[in-house]
Amino acid sequence: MTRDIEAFRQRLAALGLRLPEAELPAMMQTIVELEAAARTLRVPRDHAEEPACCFRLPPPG
Amino acid sequence: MTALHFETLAGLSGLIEAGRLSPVELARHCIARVRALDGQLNSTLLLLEEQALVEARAAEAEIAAGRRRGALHGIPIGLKDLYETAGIPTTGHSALFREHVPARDATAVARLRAAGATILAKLATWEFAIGGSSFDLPWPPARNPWDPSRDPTGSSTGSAVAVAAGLMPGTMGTDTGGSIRMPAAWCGIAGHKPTYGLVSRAGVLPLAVSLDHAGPMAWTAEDCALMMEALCGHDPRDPASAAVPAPDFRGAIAEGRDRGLAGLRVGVVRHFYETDLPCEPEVHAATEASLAALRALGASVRDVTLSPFGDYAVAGMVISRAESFALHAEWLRATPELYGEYGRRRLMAGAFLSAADYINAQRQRGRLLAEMTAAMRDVDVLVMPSSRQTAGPLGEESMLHGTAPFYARPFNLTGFPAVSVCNGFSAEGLPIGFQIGGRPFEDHLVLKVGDALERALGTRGRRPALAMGGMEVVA
Repeated sequence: MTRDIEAFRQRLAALGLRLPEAELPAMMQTIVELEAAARTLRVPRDHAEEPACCFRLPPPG
Repeated sequence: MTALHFETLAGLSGLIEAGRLSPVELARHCIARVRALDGQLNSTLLLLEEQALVEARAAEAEIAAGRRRGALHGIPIGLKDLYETAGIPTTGHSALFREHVPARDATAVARLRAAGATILAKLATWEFAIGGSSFDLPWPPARNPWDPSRDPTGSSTGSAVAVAAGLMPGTMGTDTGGSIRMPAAWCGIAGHKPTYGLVSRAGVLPLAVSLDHAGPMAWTAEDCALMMEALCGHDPRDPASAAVPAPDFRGAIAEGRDRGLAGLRVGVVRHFYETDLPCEPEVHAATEASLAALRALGASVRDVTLSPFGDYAVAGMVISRAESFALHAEWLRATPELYGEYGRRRLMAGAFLSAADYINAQRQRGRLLAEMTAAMRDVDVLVMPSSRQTAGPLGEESMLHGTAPFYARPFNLTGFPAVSVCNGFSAEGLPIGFQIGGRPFEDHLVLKVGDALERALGTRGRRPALAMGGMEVVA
């Protein structure tokens, strides 16, 4: 656990962020949940689908 | 006769129009209510007493001169303290913005003023609409008037509490992941998240720009509809603002009252609240009673299947965290101590997401948007409970996690309009909420259904006991 906290503190520092020591365990838990959520979005896809996610110009006139 | 402070916005407007109520008297009454009761509720960060009375006197003079502007003329309105107000602090309920005094009004505020509303107060919120009910901010968290040991939930905490307690008849909230509809549900009021682009967000402190919505909160769906009349309109200051004609809100409400809901096709997203995120039995029973009421009003009701609720929740959360971190990154790095613990944690979380995560979430969003669009070819509205449970304990940390007990996020992700109305009470006397979602720019339809349901279920006659105590009946 101590090693995990230290590794997490280093991740935070690499992002230019700092937190009070007492908040690190709860923050770690939040990130575990968020990263698990983000993993569910990494699904195989056909590159031909890519135009499905793009910006759109306003209509002329 | 209904006490003045428990009269609906529509009712107050009618009294003013008939010359039976003075806007100044109404403003004074609301100010007295805030002073008498808000020490227990903490809904109000700043009571604009002097300015509100000036505005009320101006409204009274105009109306007396035969220049009544419409339904909101002389009506006191409170603003979640994310709405910028010229010359008046707009703090986001955060120490970081404690000294922030904008130079101009948010467009929505300007529209309310143009409609003759009296701006009464700046109201509590979760810090920057995300922090949670926190005790480490410059102001205490708002409390639920149905039971002050309970959370009103957020993020538009003060906006819901002030309406439920009868402190003011209408307020403005914002909704990025349910922040209008969730507190509306737990506080027993109506809260409407408009179609994305229908109400300008210019001058409203942002959270996640592709999910943020500005909208009204009031005792009834009809009250929200009257506020929407004033709020709609294209605004070049908001890049997402849609140049579309304003829906006929009043006509829709009147039609529902005349003809019921004959011909309306209601889709029930039953798997959201029975299997994906099961709701409590009392919420389920209230939902079934609402479906029966909709049938009795002439609607046809059928089940609709969408992707699992989690697909909507995950995409919404990833987009929200990424966009909100982008907005707050430099402040979080420079002065993290100026945030409360909950806000700091939730806003920093986005730093751990990659650009690919954000793109993946937007791709999933596109798929879900197509899915909901297709589903709504066969039904006119989608319905489900607003929350899986009634109000929980104040400040409960579990509220901050991805398992938060609300069904609101799908409509932020798709941008479709959705209203939460009160459809019953638990055995403990806590309100239960029912959510009605519609097709884009059919806000008038969801509010019409909400109005019909409120009237059929008869939930609008019950108010928090706390707010009843010791107040004189004026009207």
